Amino acid sequence: MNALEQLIFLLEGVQITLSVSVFAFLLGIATGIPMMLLRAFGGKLWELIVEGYEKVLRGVPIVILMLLFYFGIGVRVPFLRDPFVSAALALGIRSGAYQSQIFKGAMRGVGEDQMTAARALGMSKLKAFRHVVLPQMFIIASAGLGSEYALIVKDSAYAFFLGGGLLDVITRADILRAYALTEHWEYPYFAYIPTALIYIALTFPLATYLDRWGSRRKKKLGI
Amino acid sequence: MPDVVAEAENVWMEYKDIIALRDVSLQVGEGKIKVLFGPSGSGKSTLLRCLAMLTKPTRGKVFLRGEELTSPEADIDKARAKIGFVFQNILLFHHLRALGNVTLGLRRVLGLPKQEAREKAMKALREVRMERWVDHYPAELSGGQQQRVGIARALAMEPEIILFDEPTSSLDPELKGEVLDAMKDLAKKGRTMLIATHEMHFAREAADEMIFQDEGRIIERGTPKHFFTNPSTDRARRFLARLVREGQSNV
Amino acid sequence: MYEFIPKYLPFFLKGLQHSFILALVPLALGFLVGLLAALADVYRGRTASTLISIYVEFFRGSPLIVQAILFYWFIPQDLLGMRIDRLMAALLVFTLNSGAYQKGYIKGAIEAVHEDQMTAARALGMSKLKAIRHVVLPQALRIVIPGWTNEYASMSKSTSAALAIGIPELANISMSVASWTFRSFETYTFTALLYFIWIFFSVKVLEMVYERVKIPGFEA
Repeated sequence: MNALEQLIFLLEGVQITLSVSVFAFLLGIATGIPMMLLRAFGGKLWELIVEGYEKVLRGVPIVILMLLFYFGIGVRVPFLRDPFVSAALALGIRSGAYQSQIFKGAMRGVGEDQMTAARALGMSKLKAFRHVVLPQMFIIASAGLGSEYALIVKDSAYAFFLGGGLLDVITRADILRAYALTEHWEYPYFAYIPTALIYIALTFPLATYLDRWGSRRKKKLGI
Repeated sequence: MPDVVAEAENVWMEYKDIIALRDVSLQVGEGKIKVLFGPSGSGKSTLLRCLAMLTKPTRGKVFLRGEELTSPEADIDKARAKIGFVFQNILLFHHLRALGNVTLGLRRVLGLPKQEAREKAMKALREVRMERWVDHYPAELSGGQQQRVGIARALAMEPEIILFDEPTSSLDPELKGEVLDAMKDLAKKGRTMLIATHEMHFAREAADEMIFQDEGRIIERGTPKHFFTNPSTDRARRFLARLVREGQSNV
Repeated sequence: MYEFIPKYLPFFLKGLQHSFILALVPLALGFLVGLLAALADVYRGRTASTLISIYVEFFRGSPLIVQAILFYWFIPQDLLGMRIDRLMAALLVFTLNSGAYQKGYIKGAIEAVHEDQMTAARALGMSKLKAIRHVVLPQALRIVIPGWTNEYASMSKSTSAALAIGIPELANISMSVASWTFRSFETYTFTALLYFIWIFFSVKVLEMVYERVKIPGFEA
């Protein structure tokens, strides 16, 4: 393989890294918002349960969660015996715990007055939340969601320890390293430099953009 | 005048499109109390900041005891240690108790040992009648109490002169009195002070000279008696009349 | 179910000990790096800020595993032709990584201390350096503690990135135990519990410290 072919080989991993990450991020939204709502409106018991659940997920390294899903539970649940599924689920479920926190802060930022004003128009609680509170929450949460997305992309690299079955960017770097060693190249680990840059390109621009977009919107809308 | 403490000589302060000070000259002699007044935006605060070299004038000279502070060789930090400054928005150090706010400069600027700094600070705090509040953080004090600590912080450094930048204007009316009383005490003890304020009652009682400033210029100066009986410029007359009308102070 | 755990407990504890070192040393050294970087970013010119942002974006934008591989293999072995100790490499890369994050927290806190505080300190005759040291930093460092607690928790979990260079820390040990015993579920749930207890209690301790040094008017 020449340099260009190696680079293309690496870049082909982007698709997999991104698929895992996007799936996990969406799963994070899908679990994070309900958890936040349960916590806020579900009464004392639910608040305790959800808080405990989030604390545990936030207190364990992501690689241990992945290993638990893939090897630990995967023994009995064949569907988890796929590194893509295990990695994406672990990342997504954990992200839910983080996103619940982000949305909680965002909801506080929107404030109760907005809800009251919407209810005064005759909207149901659900409608008021959906049409008035939620859109503003996303604006306030944008910076936090941007760094959460970046965290997922970077942490998806831990899927490497699930045995190399997932051909994402970092696993491909490891393949290139093995190839370079057999070819006795001078810098066998060089592939990790473009690898680092690829991850930076996948995280930095979007996170920065969301951060700036969020503060501009907030300023413009006065929230 | 042999005993001039602070002096501004033909000072100009120009920002991009506004001129905050136009050719202002002023001397404050030993033991004198001068009150600077005039509409907001007239450059009082800028003048005080220039005298303390918190901002550098764009033209003109500033002196402390005859030493030119505007010269490039001047040790500004050393000069500032000899100039007390009391801020409009108080600016106590949030992380230090009242006592700590007063000892900080004594310890870190003058390098006094702990015990001596403490004694000096207590003395200054007693002068403004804050000795009972030394262990309180700024957030636990009222605005008037905070400003008294602010005065003690300046006083403890044993400055040559104390500059007051509208020390009561951020305070609720009922809290102004205690700060003005503290300032009157200092006046009686012969401190050298330059005070920007609209408290005309205080000015009448304490000032040796009053200086009326408008649009960056000194328009008129004279004794309180002169201003309150027969100011010679229209602008000063109108401004004083407005102060009375708005009830900002009872002349 | 978990009956085999006691037999392996000494391994787990040894692993935890390594993880401890891998979290605490970089956290302390990273604080110094972060503090210097934050001060240079706020009070020095453009060039310093640009260099610092390149440093920060590299360490915040790429996976820690990749950084660990670069600092254990690529830089010393490929480029410099030398071998370095695994633990040293890990401590170095974790320090630089944590420094990049801590810089962000500290800079935010310095900027949260209003400029007026600097003016008041300068009016007393303090030099800029003294004002930073005695007025700005004491306030900023109190503001930074909650953010710093987050960094501590996240650093503790990130020690598992040392898997990439084979240091026998907790994640590494647990993978070994799982492969010796074929009891993955029990091993990894127990490991998760150890991490959780470690992080939960040390965060509690940090929160207590925060309560201690808290000042009225300073609640973040």
